[in-house]
Amino acid sequence: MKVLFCRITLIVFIIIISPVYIFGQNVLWWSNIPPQSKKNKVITYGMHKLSSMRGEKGKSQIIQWLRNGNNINHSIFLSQQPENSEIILFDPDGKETEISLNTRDKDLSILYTGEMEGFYNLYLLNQSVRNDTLFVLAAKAERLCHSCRNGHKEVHIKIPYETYPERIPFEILRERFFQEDFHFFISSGDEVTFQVLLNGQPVDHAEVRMITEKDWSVKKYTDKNGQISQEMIGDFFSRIKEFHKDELHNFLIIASCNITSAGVFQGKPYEYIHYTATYTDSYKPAVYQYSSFVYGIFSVLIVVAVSLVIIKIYRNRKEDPKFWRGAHE
Amino acid sequence: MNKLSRMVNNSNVSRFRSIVQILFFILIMYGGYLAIEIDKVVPVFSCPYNKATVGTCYLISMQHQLHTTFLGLFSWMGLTFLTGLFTFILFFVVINKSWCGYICPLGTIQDWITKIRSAFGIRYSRYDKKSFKSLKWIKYLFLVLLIFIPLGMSNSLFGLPKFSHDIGAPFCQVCPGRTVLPLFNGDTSQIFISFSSITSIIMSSLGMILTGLFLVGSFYKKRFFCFLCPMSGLQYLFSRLGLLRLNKAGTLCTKCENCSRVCDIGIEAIAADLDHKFIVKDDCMMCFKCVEVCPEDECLKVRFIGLTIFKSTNEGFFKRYLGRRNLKITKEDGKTVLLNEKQSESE
Repeated sequence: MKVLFCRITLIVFIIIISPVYIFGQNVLWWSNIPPQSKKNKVITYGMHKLSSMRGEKGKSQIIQWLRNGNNINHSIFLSQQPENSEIILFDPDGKETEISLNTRDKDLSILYTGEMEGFYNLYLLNQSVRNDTLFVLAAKAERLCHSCRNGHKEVHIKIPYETYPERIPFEILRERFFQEDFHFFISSGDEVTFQVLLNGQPVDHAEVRMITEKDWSVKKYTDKNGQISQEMIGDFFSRIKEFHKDELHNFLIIASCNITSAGVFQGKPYEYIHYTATYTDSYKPAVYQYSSFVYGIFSVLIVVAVSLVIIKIYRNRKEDPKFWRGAHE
Repeated sequence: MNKLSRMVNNSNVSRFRSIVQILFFILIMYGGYLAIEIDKVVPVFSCPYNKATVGTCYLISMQHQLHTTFLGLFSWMGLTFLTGLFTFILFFVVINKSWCGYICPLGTIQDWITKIRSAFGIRYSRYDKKSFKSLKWIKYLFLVLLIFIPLGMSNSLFGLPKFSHDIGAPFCQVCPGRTVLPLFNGDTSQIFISFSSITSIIMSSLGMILTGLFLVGSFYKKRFFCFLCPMSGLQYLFSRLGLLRLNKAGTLCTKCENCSRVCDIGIEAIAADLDHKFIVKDDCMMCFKCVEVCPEDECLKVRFIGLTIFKSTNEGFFKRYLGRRNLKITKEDGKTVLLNEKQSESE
């Protein structure tokens, strides 16, 4: 009887708690990486290699996929939009702009036309009440749309990040680097700072996890300014033949915090709110791993020295050809 | 109006040019700090690798716009390319090839290197006729390569495999502007050799070689790189549309060859050509040094939208010639005599 009771309790525990556990641990995030079946069909647009396809009038349309999981390589691609969720896209001017759901393929994807140069901020906002907790998830994709053929106008205006506290209650921001421009990429070894905002205000002691492609992860807590800093690791172990300086390596940031706040959502009361935000981006190998200033400057100096010697000899020959003739004889 | 015209014709255009060059150098190199932006079709080497630049050299925009499939080029992408080219032409035609002589920062650097050489008392070099004729085609070769290589990266040309994407913007990889101009902002990041792939090694090495050749070449040969510059070749294709023109009256020319002797590039056709009115050649940078040193009245004229703004005059020639050598002209027994400062003081 006791054993049976324990088994029933365990089963009930798994049925009730596991969705919370799964949802709390596995999160939704936007992916620039296409599913395996689409890898040959999807092209890349711009310097930051955004997944894209040709749209109307030949304009490139940026595609992003929605995934569920903590693992960048093995997270599942969602096939439909989650219930109680809203997808919002802000263009580089901060205005809400049109998106379209691609319903033709089995994997859910969002299409938008990247006409403007600058950062597009794509959000998925999902809210649901389970037990006495309101779960709020904000999955964010901050994608820099830039192609050099469009020039480099208003870079200093478009680089700083935008926040939308009235629409997005909880989100992760990446602090910009000094003199960051459209050609900037996070590199291995860079110390990147992220800030977590709740209703536009920094959150103290929010849990932040960073997970890379090779499943390396680190967990930190935000300071009073809502910030954490993390040095990007060199998360690849390819042989020199496989090394490519332009290869982008993805990482996922998951931030979460709990607050005590009572309310009602869609007729369901709650006493706590659990916020989760996700943010995805990519980084490149560090420049010093494949390029050398020393070799560069030495090459220049050698060319200068050799050229000066050749010119000197040429001029001396022209001035005193007899001397040179005599030297040969 | 006559007084103003006389003042302009007697003025020292070279000094004016030096001042204009300094001002535009500061604007182009550092204007980005004041959030000044021009456009992506600037007809000079306003290099975007220099972080504080005010605009983007048209060559890099062109290479990126041509980095597309033929299908894209003959569709909406082609419109982008044509729009860019049209805007470039609009910018260019205002002052024609004077962009090179007065505004280009890379040209200004070469002029400064020339002044350093003069200060050391080292004589400069000139190309002989044969070298001049054969070397002048290099700029067109560069121009053709920077058009076809980006196309070749997205398309298979003549059955060849597509070129590696590591070439990037091919001319920019080898252009000395990319390495030299950022140095004026304390940025040495463009001096490197990249070992990430064979293509990167080759392209970055070529860039370093051309940088070295640029420094030495500019030291010994005035405006060395301008002779090889594909921007100069591209500009020449549209120079006949320019609002600013350099005209020659062949009948007034006495073939003294002052103009070709003073020309930094060494264009002999300015003196030799007596048949054509529009005298701007593909290597010309419209610095108007030739007009300054021409002693014949109205032989060479600089015209802007049909108005003559500067012309060669006998009076202007002697005033500039005497001023530079601290000489004074006077008459003795009805004869015109040149005196130096000491002689004129003793008198």
